Amino acid sequence: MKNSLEIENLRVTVDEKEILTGVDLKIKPKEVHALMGRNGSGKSTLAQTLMGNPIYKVVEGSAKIYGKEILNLEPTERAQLGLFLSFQYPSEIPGVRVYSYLRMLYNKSHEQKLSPKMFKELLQENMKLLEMDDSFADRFLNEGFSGGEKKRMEMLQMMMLEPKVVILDEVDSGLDIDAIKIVSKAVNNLMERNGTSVLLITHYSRILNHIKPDFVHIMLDGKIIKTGGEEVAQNLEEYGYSQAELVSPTVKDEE
Amino acid sequence: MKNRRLKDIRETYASKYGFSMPEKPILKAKRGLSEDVVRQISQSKGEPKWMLEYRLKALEAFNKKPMPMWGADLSKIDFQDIFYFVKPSDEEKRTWEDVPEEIKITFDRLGVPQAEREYLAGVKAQYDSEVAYSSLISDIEDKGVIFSSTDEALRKHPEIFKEYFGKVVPFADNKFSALNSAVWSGGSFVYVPKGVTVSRPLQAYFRINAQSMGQFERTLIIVEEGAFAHYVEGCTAPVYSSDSLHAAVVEVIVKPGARFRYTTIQNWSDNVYNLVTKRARVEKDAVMEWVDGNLGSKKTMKYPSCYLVGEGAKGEVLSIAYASKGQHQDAGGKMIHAAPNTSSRIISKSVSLRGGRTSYRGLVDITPAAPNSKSRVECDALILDPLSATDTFPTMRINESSANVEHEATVSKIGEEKLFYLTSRGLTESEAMSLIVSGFIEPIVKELPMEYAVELNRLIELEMEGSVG
Amino acid sequence: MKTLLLKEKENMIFFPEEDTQYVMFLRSSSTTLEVNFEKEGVSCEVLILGKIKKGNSVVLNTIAHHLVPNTSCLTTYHAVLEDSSSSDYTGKIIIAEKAFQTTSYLNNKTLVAGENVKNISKPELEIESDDVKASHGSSTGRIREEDIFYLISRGLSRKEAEEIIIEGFFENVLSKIMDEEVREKVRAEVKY
Repeated sequence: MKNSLEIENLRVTVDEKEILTGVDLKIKPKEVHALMGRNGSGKSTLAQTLMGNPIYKVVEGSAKIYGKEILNLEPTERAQLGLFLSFQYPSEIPGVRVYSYLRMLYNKSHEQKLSPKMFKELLQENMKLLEMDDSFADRFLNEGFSGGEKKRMEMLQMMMLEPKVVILDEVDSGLDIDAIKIVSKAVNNLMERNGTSVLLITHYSRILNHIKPDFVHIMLDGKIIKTGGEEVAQNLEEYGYSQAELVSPTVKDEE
Repeated sequence: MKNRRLKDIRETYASKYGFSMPEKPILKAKRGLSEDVVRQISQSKGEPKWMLEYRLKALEAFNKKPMPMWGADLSKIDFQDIFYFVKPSDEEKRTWEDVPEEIKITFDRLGVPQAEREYLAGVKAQYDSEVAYSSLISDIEDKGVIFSSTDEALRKHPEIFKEYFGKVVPFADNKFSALNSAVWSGGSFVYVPKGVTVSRPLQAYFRINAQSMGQFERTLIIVEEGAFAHYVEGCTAPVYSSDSLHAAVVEVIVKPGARFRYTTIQNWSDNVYNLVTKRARVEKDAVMEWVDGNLGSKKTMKYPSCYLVGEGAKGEVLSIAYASKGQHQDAGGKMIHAAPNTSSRIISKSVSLRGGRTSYRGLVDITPAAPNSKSRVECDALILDPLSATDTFPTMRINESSANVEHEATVSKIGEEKLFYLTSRGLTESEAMSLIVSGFIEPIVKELPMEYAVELNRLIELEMEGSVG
Repeated sequence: MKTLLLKEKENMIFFPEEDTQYVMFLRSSSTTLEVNFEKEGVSCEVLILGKIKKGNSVVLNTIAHHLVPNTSCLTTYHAVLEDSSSSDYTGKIIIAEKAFQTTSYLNNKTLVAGENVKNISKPELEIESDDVKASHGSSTGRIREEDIFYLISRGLSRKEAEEIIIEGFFENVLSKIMDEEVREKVRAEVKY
């Protein structure tokens, strides 16, 4: 079976400073991989680079989605291949209504077009799952949204786009436990019906109680230095990063 | 920053709006401006003597007044190279079948009859110097609403006409109001009787067809006490290598408790100088709203104004300016507060690209006669590439101690992070940019009837080429 | 950032070589203050306070002219107008072509504390470059009656309440002055 996401020796600079120093990672369809690490370890850089943010310059390496190299593609094309990034800090786009924006996204990402009525039903269904009020559809995209509302808005876009590979960049930060449950429900729902695989970037292990990881990776200084099962996150919780990092240096994940 | 080349709808203007039909006027005054031409216009319309005298006095004022030394560069206008009067047909027709073929074809291509069938209360279609087609749905006519060409109003309603004509915008107000007053022809006359509500828009469409044409329509609108109406005008012209001139005067009188909205979607070809004086007199507790979209023309100078002369009067200007290659939109609004408890608001959104320039120019004047008045002005400019430019020239003149006046202006470009966010969701850069621009002007577009909103968003759609990293 | 305290006079033109605060207190004068940014990376603040007493008038022009990339300017003019006084202010921000990554803001606030005042405010932007941040704001308003009432209800006299509000109005600008000596000098002027 092809890997849904395969990263090899990825090295990335920002303003000529090397942030990713050689990342290797393979994710199979339907797998959940958690990526943990301190601030500044390179987690968000990895997410932004995979999505194609022009600020991040790839020096070396490769990233493939279902076997197709993406690092030379525009963000638009990566999205069309089924990659989705939930932003840590989503942009506010004044004047653009959520409803018409999502309709645009849906029509671009699906061959089967829906009638306005069916689209509305689908949207309402997803909003209900995320416990979002109907009035969200009339608001401007992310404008004046609270942190939690922005996260849900990211999840709603994900649900409507139905991507094959999802990167969640600190989707749990600033959320209370109820909101984490709601977000997790959406992610699990999408994985189940769409076979989506997930790269879950987080500081805290608590979201891993709701989105069960198949593997947990720890990142330090732009590299993955430790890989294991859920116990890695458990250790982290108990001993903190310094301890976790000490336990074993540079363990690559198995084939 | 990526190296992008922007394309916009102006590049396809020629095929969509910029076509021309063979000229078949029944009367065409000789090229250039003179007393003879003014007399010929007046005579051909069979006007009363007072109007001829008015025109001649205005011509004198025009000749005396200097060109404005501020605003857009008008130094290339050659007043003797313009045709001042081109009469397209013998009279305004009530059915499209009666309209001369080339005129009918023109308005068909512009979608006017279709819009008329779908959502309008009445239509005026002006072709060069005069109105060629005129309609008003009967139940509105039955309520006493008058919607005619200004020429016809002078013939049929001389008393009302004389009472209001030239009172809000005196001929000597500025050089171009003087020019219009000398050679005016066509335009709309609207009279809404006391308490009458006209819920569907009345629309006028102004089309220049002839080359080196000057169009000088004159619009006079009277909204009686407690009445409401919404008037919409659109304008387009063929693309010619020689310049055309459009210098209209619009006078609006909004009586106590009435509300009137005047919407313009100006989409002239890039060879038209558009120099228009628009002013409303707003009486007690009345509301005047100008929605002013300037997308076309070579140079525009236009600042719709409200003279708030009655206690509690409200004025509003919502302005969109879009300047692409070779265009300068010098637009804005003026609010003169001349009575107590008056309020005003100006919102201006401008977009410049491909070397275009937008300038906001505005005035808020709180006179000593206007205690407890307030005004708020917001101007936002978006610059889409390094070739383009924008200015903001507001004046706040406050001569009353209790006034509350606020003004804010910003200039920005589209942030890379916004483009990245939207492209990461699968939109192309062109789509993302168009979406951001349409969001930027949304506060004004939302005020338009749906049909016009769709049209406007289509007119500002952008394309990008050569977006390489 | 160094702080320069300027005297009100007719015409001043600066070409700052380093980050600078220009501070001025106005009573009655006609003054032009022009700051030309011809050195990259320079960041300036123009802080002007005007307390315009009965019968006096101020004509003020400021120009922030950005000619090279990566400069920034914040222009602030706060004026209090007492009876029969006037302020006529034109504040220009000009950003030349190729003056990329300029940041320039201008803020003019006028507090009306008397009758028969005249205030003209003309904040202007002329922008020839796209990669910039520029904005201006202007507001004119009387001291709010509800604010006065609030203070009176705490035992202040009307005059004391007005004075406090005016002090607070100026404090926003005073607190930006980095040099303590200059700040206290201007604060003394404001109180006078």
